[in-house]
Amino acid sequence: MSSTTEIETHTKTITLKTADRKLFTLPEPVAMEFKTVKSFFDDNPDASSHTVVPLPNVNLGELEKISFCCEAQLDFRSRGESAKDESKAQQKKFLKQQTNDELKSLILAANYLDIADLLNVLNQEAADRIKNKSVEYVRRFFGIENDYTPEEEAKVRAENAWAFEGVDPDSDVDPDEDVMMN
Amino acid sequence: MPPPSFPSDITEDILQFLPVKSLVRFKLVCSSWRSLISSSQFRKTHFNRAFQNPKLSTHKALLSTPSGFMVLDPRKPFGDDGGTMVNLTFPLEREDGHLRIVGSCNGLVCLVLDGKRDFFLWNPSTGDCNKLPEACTPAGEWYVHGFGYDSSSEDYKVVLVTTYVHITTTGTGTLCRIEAEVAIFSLKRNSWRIFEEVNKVIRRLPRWDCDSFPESTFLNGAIHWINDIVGTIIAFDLASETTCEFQAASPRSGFFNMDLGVLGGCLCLIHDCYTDPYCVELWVMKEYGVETSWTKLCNLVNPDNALYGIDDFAWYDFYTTLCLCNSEDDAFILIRSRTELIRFNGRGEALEKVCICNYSDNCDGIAFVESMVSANDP
Repeated sequence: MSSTTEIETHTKTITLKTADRKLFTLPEPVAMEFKTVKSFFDDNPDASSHTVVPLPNVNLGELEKISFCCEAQLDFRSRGESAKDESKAQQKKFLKQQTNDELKSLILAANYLDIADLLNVLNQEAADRIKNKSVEYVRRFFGIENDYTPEEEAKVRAENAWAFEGVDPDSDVDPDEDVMMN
Repeated sequence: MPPPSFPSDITEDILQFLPVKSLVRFKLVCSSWRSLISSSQFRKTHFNRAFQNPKLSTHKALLSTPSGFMVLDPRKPFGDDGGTMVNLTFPLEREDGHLRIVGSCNGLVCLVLDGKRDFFLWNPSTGDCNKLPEACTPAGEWYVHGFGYDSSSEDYKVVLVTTYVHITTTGTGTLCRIEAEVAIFSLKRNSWRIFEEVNKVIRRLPRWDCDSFPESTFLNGAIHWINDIVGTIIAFDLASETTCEFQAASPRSGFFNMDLGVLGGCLCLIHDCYTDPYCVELWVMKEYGVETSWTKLCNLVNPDNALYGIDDFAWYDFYTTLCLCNSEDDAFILIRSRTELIRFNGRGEALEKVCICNYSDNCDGIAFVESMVSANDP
């Protein structure tokens, strides 16, 4: 075993254990962006950076993506105002690549890991994807059952007819497979 | 794999990012979404967020004609016969008569039945509608009213000024005494109260004849009325409940048909001048309350000239303001003679025109912002 201790903080890493029993190692500053991880160390003062942090509610796939996002954001933040546009563009590019299902999984993961900024960005993206969609599309997206009677539904539609105009037509594509095209 | 379902606080966070039109539609997703979206807390949070980001808000215009209501999206051309305008049904039962527009603020529109004291608050975007309790002052000869938001108490208020004419016959003739009473409604308390300080300024409010409807404009926490005989603007501040009066545009004789509105966040004034040559001018008060900041924006070029090549201004024309369409190109929409909508560019040239009601009818119009604000509970 090497006798060197981790003097430079940027090489200090944390190891996480995911729900699918995988180990994932990432730089400490990135791991500390996850409030859940930070709380683990706050609550366990005896734990060292070698202690594996159990995260039973997130899978490796989501963790890797989230870690990638957070690391990029940390990097942009350290470069200050000038990197703001680049940071937004990178985030936009990343989000576009996620299917609806992938986006939803990321939201749940970011919520569990308690990363407020990232969660906000993901929620805004979800809102942007659904805002011009039909009621049926949104029900499928959220996995919600319609509990209106046909009469009630007709009444609500009639009272707010203007809100039902100009809505994107539902395509044949399953919304779980949807990817933003532009 | 079934889609993961979200905890309710995440669903709520996502919904908070949605514009008003989407939220109104998604009430239909399921009954729990309807309850959430209609809840007081959700509405307040959504409105507060929107208030911080005015650029994200959608502005529309509401038109009230005796045959019904229409909503106009000022960013869209009018279309043939106003085809892009959307009819809207007033959601509550009410007596027959023309519902006149008193004012609009934060997405709520205040209306009153013409000649009466039946007031309503309506959010045309969400359909929320509330009939206010009867005013605490008795019926009188003329009414002047206004509507606005008091940010100091987070309350919506309606101001009703009633003019009474007391005629007494004495031995030598008849004596005519005119009195004014002011009542203020608070939405928070859902009640009217008498406002005791009916001062000189309030008594200078225009006493309209029965054919004319006194319009008010809400800006910077105050309700404004115009006295076009004297050429002044009377402002009633809702937080301090004090009045003040200032000059409307440049002091000059020969003003007629003045109307007050808001363009680009500033008080704006439109009036015609029976000078030679006759003209219609649009002025803006660039710095609120500073009389010297009145700046002429443009002279209106006779729309009939621009659109049809007719030269004379018709003597009966008068304009009321409606809204600013688009801050990028300075276009604005006015209502002419309460029958037509005309869109002008920043140089006062007419771009398009549409007739919205018959000449003998009266059309009111006002700009409003799409919001989730409740008409029942502020």
